[in-house]
Amino acid sequence: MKYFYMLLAFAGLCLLLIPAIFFYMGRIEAEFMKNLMFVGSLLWFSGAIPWLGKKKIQN
Amino acid sequence: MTQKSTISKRLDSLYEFDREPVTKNKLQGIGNFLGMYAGEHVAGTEFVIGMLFVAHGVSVGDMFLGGLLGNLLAICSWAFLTAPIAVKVRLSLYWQLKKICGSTLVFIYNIVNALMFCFLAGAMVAVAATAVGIPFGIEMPSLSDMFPNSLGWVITVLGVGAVITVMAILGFDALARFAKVAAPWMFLIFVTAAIAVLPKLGVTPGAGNFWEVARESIWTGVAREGQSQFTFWHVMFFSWFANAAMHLGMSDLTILRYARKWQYGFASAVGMFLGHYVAWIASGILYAAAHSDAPGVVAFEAIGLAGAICVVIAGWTTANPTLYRAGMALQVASGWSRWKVTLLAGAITTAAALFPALVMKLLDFVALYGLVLVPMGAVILADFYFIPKLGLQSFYAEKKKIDFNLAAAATWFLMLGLALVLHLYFKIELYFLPAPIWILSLGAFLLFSKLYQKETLSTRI
Repeated sequence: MKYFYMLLAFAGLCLLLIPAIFFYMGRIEAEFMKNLMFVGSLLWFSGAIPWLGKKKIQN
Repeated sequence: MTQKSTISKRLDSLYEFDREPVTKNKLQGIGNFLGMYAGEHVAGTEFVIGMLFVAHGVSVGDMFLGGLLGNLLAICSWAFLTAPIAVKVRLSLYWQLKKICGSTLVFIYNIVNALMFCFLAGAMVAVAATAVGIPFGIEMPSLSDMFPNSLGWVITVLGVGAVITVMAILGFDALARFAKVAAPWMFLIFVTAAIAVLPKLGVTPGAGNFWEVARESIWTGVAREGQSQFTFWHVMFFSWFANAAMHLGMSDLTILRYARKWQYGFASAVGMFLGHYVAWIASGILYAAAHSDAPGVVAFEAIGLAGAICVVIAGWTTANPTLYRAGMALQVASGWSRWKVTLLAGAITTAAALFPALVMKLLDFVALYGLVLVPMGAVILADFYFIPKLGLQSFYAEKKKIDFNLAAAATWFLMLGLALVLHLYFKIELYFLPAPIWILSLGAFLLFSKLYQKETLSTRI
């Protein structure tokens, strides 16, 4: 299950980075980029919270 | 006397769990420090600082070179000043200060620290409010606004402040964990938002015109109307002292005491270069392409909802631990339960957040925050390295069982007085004061200790 969450989180990060680069290169429209980045953010938190969020904090 | 001893007992019980030096089995690996510094220094403040550099007319060279050098100096301060003491003494800042200064002086230090934390959290509440207010179409404050500019702003800030305070009361630990999870995402939002606005500024792929655009449209070297002109030196000293309270002021003794080696102080490089370099540069680019001075609007214009959410989360996750720390300090003064003091800290924070000046003058506030606390860092360093060499007693308050080390108090108050005079009468900007004040504090504490320890000895004899 851990790997699934990791995959989800990394997919989220990719959906932030790739649309921004594609928009910069003029391959996609601004609105589409914004929507993809929002979905990427949701994916990051859906994967990262169960993956990284359980760890106890020091200090 | 009874009240004094009650406060002392409350302080001790609050920090009871770290009364003893950290034992070998509790030491942490480098990974924890890299993660901690990366998470802590990619925060809501970064949205505002990079933006204010642009508003203050920093040039491209000033930004890239001044930031590089200033951050290198900050890393060296952590590695060569804070970390070596942390791994040798292995005590938290509180206990080390108590042994040197006595409980009454530490109590005063805690209250000053708490108020500073409240104002810092207030700035973050205001930053979050600039994003929350977007769907309601409220009038956002601009760079020159010092006071609340609309009823909508007041209501939004009160709402955000209330939610942040209640969340801090209900689940500080869960929020702290959430902040760690959000940090990598926040950093990527900074970077990708900056990439996304490059075409708007005129940077075209393959044209190789980034530096030209940067010089002409982003870091132009000309301050915006009503803003003072910044130079290379402003950027360098600000970057060095943005976290002066943590390195020169020794607050990070509490964290670095868990390090296996003093070299772990270099882990701060991750936070400095991701948060205080890349993120500041990114937020400068974002601001140059925006039509607003409000961080929430700036991020929303660049990448839509993800940007606005990032500003809310960045403000929220920065305000949360700050409220917690302020609450801890105030708990000692009041003796109230944790929820009551967090509520009080939240109320002070929210009241402060109503004033946009706190955000628009964040650079000055951050510099002031470091300046106020660095003399006590110098006291710790002098007590560790130089006091024994002069034949004087380290941890004087503990050894002599005194509540108020006059030498440390005189150093702190006199140096703050001197800083005030230098700023108000000689017009030296706050960004340049921490270094001379820190060096002078070292000398002053040694001189005052020489006189005070002799005096106390002769009085007792």
